[in-house]
Amino acid sequence: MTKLAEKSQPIQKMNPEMVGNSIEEANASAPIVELKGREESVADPILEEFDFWFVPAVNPDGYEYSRTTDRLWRKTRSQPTGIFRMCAGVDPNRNYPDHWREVGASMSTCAQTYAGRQPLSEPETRVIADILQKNKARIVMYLTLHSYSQLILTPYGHAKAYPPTYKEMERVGYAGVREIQSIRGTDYKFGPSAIVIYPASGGSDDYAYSLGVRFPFTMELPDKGNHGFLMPPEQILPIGEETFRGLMAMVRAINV
Amino acid sequence: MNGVEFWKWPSAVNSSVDILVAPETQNKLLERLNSMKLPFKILMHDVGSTIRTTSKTPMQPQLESELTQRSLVDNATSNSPANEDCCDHLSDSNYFKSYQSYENIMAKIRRLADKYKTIRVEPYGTSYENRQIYLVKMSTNFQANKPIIFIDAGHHAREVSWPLKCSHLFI
Repeated sequence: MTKLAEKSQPIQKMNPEMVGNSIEEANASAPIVELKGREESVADPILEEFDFWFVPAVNPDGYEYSRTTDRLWRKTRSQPTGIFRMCAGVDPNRNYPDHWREVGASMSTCAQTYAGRQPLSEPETRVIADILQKNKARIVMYLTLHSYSQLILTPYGHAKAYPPTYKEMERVGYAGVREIQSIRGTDYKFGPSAIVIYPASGGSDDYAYSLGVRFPFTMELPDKGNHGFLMPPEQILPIGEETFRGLMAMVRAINV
Repeated sequence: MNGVEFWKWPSAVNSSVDILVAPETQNKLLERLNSMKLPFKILMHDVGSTIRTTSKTPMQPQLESELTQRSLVDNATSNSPANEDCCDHLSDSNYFKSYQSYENIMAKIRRLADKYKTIRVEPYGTSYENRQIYLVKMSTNFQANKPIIFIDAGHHAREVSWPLKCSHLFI
């Protein structure tokens, strides 16, 4: 199979007024080892201020299926039930209970964006939803990592509109964009996902925002399509490093 | 059109899309793009062979066992305390050289949690196929109920490197 791209054009720039007074210089970032959680001392003061929680693999069935069977598999691996369901899997990022299946999500079980038979039909999305719900008062930032395109996205996914607290999200998001750019020139775009890419509802970031999480972001990591989903493993460390430093710049920007 | 799949879906005006196309459909698609005067370039000539190249290492079981042996050797030779202290997170240096199995990723994180009391690994529900999903917590004081930065990766299966990268964030 061959992969084609129409000649690339820059994604529309965000309205410059919205960028306006958001410029805060991000400090030089801490090296990775400082966040390692050393037994004796912890170097990065950011760890004194925040707890860091991770779900390293939300969809382990899909991860293993992609690794061993169908490299381009996207969805979960829940099996068809009932006569109307033909194909396996649900798009977990269309399965959250906020404007579920309204836009950019499919009713067809074989579609890449099948939203599921009901919100939170998948055990995997129930895990994330449960963590978000039970800790919504404490979770100040929610970051969900995807690929590819080099974007830091805010809500809304479900409508082409700026969320009411967009300005503060922008301040924090651009701290990440600038930090990552400064490392080896990787350029990210920033903005609400329905405006920057396309409307799609039922995503986990919109759901987190609906619960009151102040800084909900989706990050589409490198590249911009030369490798796409087939990033060579040599890129794991350099991309991991710059992403980490971008994240830390964003976290530090929360409090400035 | 059959045999065509978007990698990057249509979005804003003037932005590009990425399309995966089957060999038997390729000419038809190229003709159609040409007749519509839509400019395009070919990013990857043979996706199948790219998949085989980029996935080779983790998919070959003999290489995995070789990996394990090598990291055992690494551990055996890096017994001096100075070495252990400075380079512990790099000790199995092959870890990031290929896409690891889910089991390997979680084993690596659990080893860190055993070592550092600032890291806890909690089982948090199971997947459809009964794999354990984990919530990993890092805190300098688990009783303090500090504000949380919550990060997840791997919603979408084929975006494979991201579970690893997410684990890299704190390894």
